[in-house]
Amino acid sequence: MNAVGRPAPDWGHWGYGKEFLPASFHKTTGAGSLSHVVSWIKGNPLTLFRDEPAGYYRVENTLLVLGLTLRELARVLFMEEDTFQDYPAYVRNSELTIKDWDNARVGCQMLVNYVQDGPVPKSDESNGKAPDSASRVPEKNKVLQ
Amino acid sequence: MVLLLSINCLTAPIPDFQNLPGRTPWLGIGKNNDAHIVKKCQVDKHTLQDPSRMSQQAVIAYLSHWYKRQEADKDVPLKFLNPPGHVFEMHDDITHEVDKVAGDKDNNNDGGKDNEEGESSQERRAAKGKHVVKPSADRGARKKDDVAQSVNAGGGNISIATEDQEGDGRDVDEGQNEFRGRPAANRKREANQGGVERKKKKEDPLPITPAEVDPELRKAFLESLSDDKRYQKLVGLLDTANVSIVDLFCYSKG
Repeated sequence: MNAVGRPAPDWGHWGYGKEFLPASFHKTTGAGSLSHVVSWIKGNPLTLFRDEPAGYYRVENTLLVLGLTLRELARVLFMEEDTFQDYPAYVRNSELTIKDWDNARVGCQMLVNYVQDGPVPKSDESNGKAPDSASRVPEKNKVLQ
Repeated sequence: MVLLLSINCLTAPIPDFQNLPGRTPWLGIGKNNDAHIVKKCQVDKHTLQDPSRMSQQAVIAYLSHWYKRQEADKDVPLKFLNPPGHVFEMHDDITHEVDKVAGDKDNNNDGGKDNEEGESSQERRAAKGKHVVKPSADRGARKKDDVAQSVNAGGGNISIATEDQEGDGRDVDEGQNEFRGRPAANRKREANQGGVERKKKKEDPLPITPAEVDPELRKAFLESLSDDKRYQKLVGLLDTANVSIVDLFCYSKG
């Protein structure tokens, strides 16, 4: 299913049947953790595959992972104290912080940039320089058409 | 608002902050402001509590107070980036009118602490001929949005907002809205839908888990997951994504 880039977290599919993400998400590292999600996003799940832009299914799945991540973070960080007690212990004791929230949103922004501006040319990526708009991929090759 | 309280304005180390990583103990703060934030950073008229439970007037009063302290190089519990001064002028207008209606002759917006500044800014605005926003019960909810848009329009940026860096004032409460989750997202979605569809959505709330979502409701489900505007932007672009035969195959397999 995820032939492009790094593998998505194991809970990142439409068959996931639990209200909360698994305890592994709230751990600092490991498969399914937030750091896994962030590195997965940084690997750009929407990247071109065989010079073709990401298809609907891949985009949808990416958004599912992102959305579930943001929802879970919001529950941990912005939950009302009276509702807090109804949540699983691993959510209540989650070590996720605002920094994690920011990281997730930075990943989100990165995807927005990618979608809007197209893939970053390899040479610029390796130099760590921000490419100018002229060096971007032509309009026809943008991620979402 | 989670980064609301910085160390320099806390009265003493609060165990709640250490025990609950990343979560602000709003309940405790609301019950006893003095225990959580130094007096000079409080606004007499209003109690600092969970922003989602504060009136717009109270929220802006606090922001205005802290903004003025920052301008005066005093300790502040937060730092404004690219301060959106005109927003607070607008707030002064609102506060002024509300106070007038309430029969409060005190015309200040920060409980007397910033009396002089408040009055002088009122005069400046009057000289500039700026409109005065009249308080209205049915418009209460919109006023916050208006102010938020104003922040955005001015490129203002408030560092406390967890949804901060793009200067969208709406983001200040976004976390809370998002926590409350679907209702906020539903409202947004319903605003874009026709009447019949809107009624249908109200009757059939979206499921909570991905597995329960019908394929045709997937986009609506995705929209409901977060109010983050970047995320919403990505979801919006879903309509323009390519659909290939392979995708349709995967899609049907779910």
